[in-house]
Amino acid sequence: MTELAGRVTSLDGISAADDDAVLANGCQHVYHSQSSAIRDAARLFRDSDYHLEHITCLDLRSDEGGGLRLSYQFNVHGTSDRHLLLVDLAPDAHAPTIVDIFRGADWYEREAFDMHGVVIDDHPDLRRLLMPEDYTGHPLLKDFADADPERHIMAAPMSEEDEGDG
Amino acid sequence: MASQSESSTTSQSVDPDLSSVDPEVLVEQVRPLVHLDTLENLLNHARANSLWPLTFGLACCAIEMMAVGASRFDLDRIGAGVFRPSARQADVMILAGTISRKMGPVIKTLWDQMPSPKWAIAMGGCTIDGGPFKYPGQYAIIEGADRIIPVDVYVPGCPPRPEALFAGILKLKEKIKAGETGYRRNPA
Repeated sequence: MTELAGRVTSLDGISAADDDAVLANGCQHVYHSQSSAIRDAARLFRDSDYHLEHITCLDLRSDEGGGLRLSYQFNVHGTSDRHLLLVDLAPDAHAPTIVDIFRGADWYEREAFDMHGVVIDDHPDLRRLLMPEDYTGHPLLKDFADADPERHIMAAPMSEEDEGDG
Repeated sequence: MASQSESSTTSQSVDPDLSSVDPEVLVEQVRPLVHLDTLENLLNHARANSLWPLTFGLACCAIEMMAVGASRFDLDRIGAGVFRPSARQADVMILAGTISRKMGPVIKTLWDQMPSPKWAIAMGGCTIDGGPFKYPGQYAIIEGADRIIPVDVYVPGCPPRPEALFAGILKLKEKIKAGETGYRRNPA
């Protein structure tokens, strides 16, 4: 375990994942984290000159339970040292923003909100990223059903008086 | 041809080539009120040989569309190489690529901004019926260009070869010379 990994796991609410998780995703270090610890970990990685590779979200709900999982990956240039932070959330839980720590987290967090409905607390501009602004629902949730599939089709309304303008 | 709108409406049967189009979209197809045959034929000949497409690409099909405009295939040979950056100057909209639901209203607006006579070519599987992105419960795309605007020529392929789009434009020329006048009713 590197010195940085030791400092990450010493944070409150973060523990190292078992070796299976490490083998499964190719990151040298994998952690399970409480959402309250995300910001502390992000600060630690930033101060160690790591950058944010991505944030993504998974819907792991099944008959046996489970919830949403945010995953944050932090990389560094020069050496092969990837750190993956897994944050398990209840389906309606919130997560803290890290936009003020890593500016590049902005659109990732908006995507997690748009696609999975994860509300990011204190995000400066939490709008939908991919779906139309007036859309309802979060398409990547497993129980998603499109409320109105025809909404953006817009068959053109015509009037009888309005003839061709050729 | 604004002077034509002073006489009574002529009724015409629906073009059989458009039978597969959603009837609600077909309503937009409007015929001119008076036929001055010789003049119309002359105008159609001119229109068919100077189709100005809208500079407008949606996805990967647009790369093939660019190839059609470039020197190897050279749309200028048939007078259709003048891609116009303004909808106000364009005659034909080549829908080249996947139509996302977010893009749908933009395309409809562009189409409405094009002055009649105007025509549309649906290029590639996505604009024909959604193509590879069509599945039950999909939330991202509009399944076919003819769900938002009337389409004159469908060019299959994923993406179609440049020759295929070229053939589609030639087919549109045939339709125009045969009297597919391209007059469209404006939305209310």
